[in-house]
Amino acid sequence: MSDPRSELSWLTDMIPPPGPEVRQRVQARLAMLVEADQSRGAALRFETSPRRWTGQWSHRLAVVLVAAAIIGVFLVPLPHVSLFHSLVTPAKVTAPTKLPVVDLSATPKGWVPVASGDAQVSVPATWDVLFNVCVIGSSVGDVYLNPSGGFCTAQKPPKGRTTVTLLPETDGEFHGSPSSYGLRSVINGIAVYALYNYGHGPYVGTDYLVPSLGVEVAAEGPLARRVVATLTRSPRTAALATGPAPSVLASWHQVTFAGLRFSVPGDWAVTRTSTWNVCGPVQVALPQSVTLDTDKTFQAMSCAPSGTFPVTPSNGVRVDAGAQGPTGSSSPTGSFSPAGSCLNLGGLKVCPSRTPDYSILFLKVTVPGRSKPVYVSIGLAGNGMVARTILYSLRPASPSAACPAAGIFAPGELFGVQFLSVTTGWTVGSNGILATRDGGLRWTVQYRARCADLSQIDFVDAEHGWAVGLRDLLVTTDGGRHWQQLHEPTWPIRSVHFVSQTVGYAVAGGGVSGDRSPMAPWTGGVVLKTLDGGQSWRLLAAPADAQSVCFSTTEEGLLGADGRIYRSLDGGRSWSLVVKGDGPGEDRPLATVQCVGQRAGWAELDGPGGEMSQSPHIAFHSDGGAWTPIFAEQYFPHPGIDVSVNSPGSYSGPFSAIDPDTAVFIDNCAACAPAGTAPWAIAERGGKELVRRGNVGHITSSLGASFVTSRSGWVTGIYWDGSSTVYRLVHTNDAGRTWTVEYTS
Amino acid sequence: MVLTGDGSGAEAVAESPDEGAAFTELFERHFDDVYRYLAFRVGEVVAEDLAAETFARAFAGRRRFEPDRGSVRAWLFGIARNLIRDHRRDERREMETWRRANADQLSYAADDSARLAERLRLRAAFASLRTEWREVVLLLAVGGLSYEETAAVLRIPLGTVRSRYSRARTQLMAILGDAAETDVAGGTRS
Repeated sequence: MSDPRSELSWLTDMIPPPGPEVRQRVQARLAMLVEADQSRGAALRFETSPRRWTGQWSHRLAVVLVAAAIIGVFLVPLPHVSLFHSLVTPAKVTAPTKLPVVDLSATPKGWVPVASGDAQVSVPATWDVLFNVCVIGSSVGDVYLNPSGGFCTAQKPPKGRTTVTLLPETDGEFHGSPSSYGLRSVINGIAVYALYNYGHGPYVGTDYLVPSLGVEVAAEGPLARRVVATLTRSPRTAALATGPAPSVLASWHQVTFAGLRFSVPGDWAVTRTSTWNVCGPVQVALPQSVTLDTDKTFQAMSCAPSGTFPVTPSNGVRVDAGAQGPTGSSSPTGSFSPAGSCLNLGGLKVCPSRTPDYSILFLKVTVPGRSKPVYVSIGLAGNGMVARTILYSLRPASPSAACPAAGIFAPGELFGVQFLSVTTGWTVGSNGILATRDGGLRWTVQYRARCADLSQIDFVDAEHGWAVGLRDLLVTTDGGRHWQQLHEPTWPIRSVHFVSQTVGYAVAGGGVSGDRSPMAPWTGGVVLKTLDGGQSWRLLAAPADAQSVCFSTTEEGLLGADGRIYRSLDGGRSWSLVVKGDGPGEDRPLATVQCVGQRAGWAELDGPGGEMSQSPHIAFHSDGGAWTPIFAEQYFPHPGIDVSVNSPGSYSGPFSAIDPDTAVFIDNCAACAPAGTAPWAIAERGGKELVRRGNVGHITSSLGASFVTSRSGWVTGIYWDGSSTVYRLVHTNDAGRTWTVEYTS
Repeated sequence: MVLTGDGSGAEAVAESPDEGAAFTELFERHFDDVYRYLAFRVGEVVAEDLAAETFARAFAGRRRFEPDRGSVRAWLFGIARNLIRDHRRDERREMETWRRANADQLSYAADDSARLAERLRLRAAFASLRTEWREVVLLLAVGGLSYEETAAVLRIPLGTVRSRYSRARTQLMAILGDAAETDVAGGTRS
């Protein structure tokens, strides 16, 4: 008889015998399964056993096992129990001896803790937490927190239970164990697979799959209950968490990703992935090109199968657009030297790092109060959201710690301001809404929330107004005495402009921009319209990448989109390009528009990019006809635009349109002594004259502005005295000759 | 088919006074084959889970195991095979990956490494087999089951096992030519 085993030995050899670490993982899992089975009192009848094993005995054993797991060390050799002795103590093998401890107290109410190595992530209980095999670049044990469901989501927590189970998710275009793609090697304890790019594009022989966060957690029951079992899936996590701190080469360049800056080798190309690439084939390639998720990608991370609204995570986590590397634009975005490259992130020290041999990116995070640093893997297979969430979940306790979307607004920060008259106005910020009826002598708190993070206020009259924030869209019909929360169909609504008590427009979705307009989406924004005061919204067909919108009547409006300015005369049904807005680089600027009066409009294009102490920005005005430039930052070329008037300052800031002929532009000069200034100017006669008014008083950087006349206005901003920061609202009644501080937080 | 005393651990499962040690022994003896069989079918990642699940179920059901009706090996592979039923998608995709490797990328791969290219070719050849043939091949060649055990697991006549294996083998040889004879996969089979 033929012996199939030797005849087809080539077949058997394709999958090598499991190594010790595989065996160990399986044994650990088996031990857990057996233990779980017994604690459920399943069909095992130990009392009939010759050895008289009882369910109780095994239950006790289970407790020991779980306790040992929680303590993180297998303290007990488990004598007399040969089964488990051999299953759970393969001590000769290098093992992750430290298992994560889940700290429930660090988890916000309604959220579920997820542990990974030394790091703990908290996610809303409604999220699915899955292993992401959907993306080929993270096919092994990568945790993929999927906030919004969709194509990649196969396992949903049962209704009515706060259960989040990390499961191997097996959907997706590509599948297969990574080893079936190519050669495996282990670097710094992390399995890396050479990857062959099947069927898509040219062969890339040096791709690598890097499992970054290997986690398996099952937490059942209400949050008040103990987490039953927590187990890392593989030693990889431990390797990430405890490996030696690598160093960064000076030749690497800097990339912004997920709100974090870190560095990649200078010869990497950093590109944005297209929407559907995420579920498609190779996403990350080394060293030829590197794709980092951006806000656009992020919409696709949920792999929404259809729909016109981009899916944006509702957790408030920002994913910033990635900077472009050598092939994306002309030059790297900067250089990164190991010294001084650490970031201070809410008290956390974050330093970029890499492994010695291969370019696995991760961040070393030093947490106050923790003796050991935590390494968070980002890039490649990593998921910026995960990293971000980890970082923020690790933040030390502080007034802002529980704000899940921390990072845009500082506690006490004031941002948006609007005055309808010299007496009646509002200002909003991270802590809520303030209002005055006497020109700012007295301010009352109309709405208070520790993490309100409101950026804009928009009243059409003294009674009807809307407040826009990172998490909320609020409406009032009684001047702000009561605020009601509105539903946001596309999260988040980033800015609104109402032309009446019922008709309004909004920009929503997309990825966030820079510091000046923290809520404005640089890319990915869409235009929404409401006819019922914001109770319901519908999507307008509008130019892509909407950034700001305003209407002077229900028919006539302006749109800033993709760094250009468009005009509509039919209520947003159609748009025509009015300012092409070629910036100095390939990227598009951020276009901000303000409508005032019949057809007149003011606009400012900001960016892209910038140098250490300048940023390209240019202002425009139209009286309904042609758009004429008012001023431009003169350091940068502005192709095709003839403007010789210099901007008030080197960085753009807020502006406030007063009437069709008059507007106030406030800039910033971060480098100006002693701690920065906010130079400003009044544009009169439709911008034909730019009257410079010196610096706004009592602030070192401006955030928001509202002027009711060219003499009377309010500016929110930051005052930094060189060591500490406060947020202020300042007022002038004499065109800037004198300024008074009306509010300090 | 009484296989007690064949060294497979059957007698231990049923009768050993030290159940834990016996089961451990059983695990040690069969784990490699069970795992590799699963890895072939659903990929190595899922295989880990299913291997653990297989042995967990075996442990839970050890009292129901009847040596008179088959070997421990056949019993374990029967469990494993049942578990795979819940992972059909994984299996399809695994095979699809193997197939695609050959169809689309062979020339690229060949540029880089002849050995890897050959490996891909072998995989594609295997993936091209009919499902029921493949199953027989896996149980026999990877699982190390006898013809009889394979017949028991699949619940098909012994003759069918033999004929399927024979046809599968013929097809593989036809596809691969001499390559398969010379162990080009580069394994270090012991």
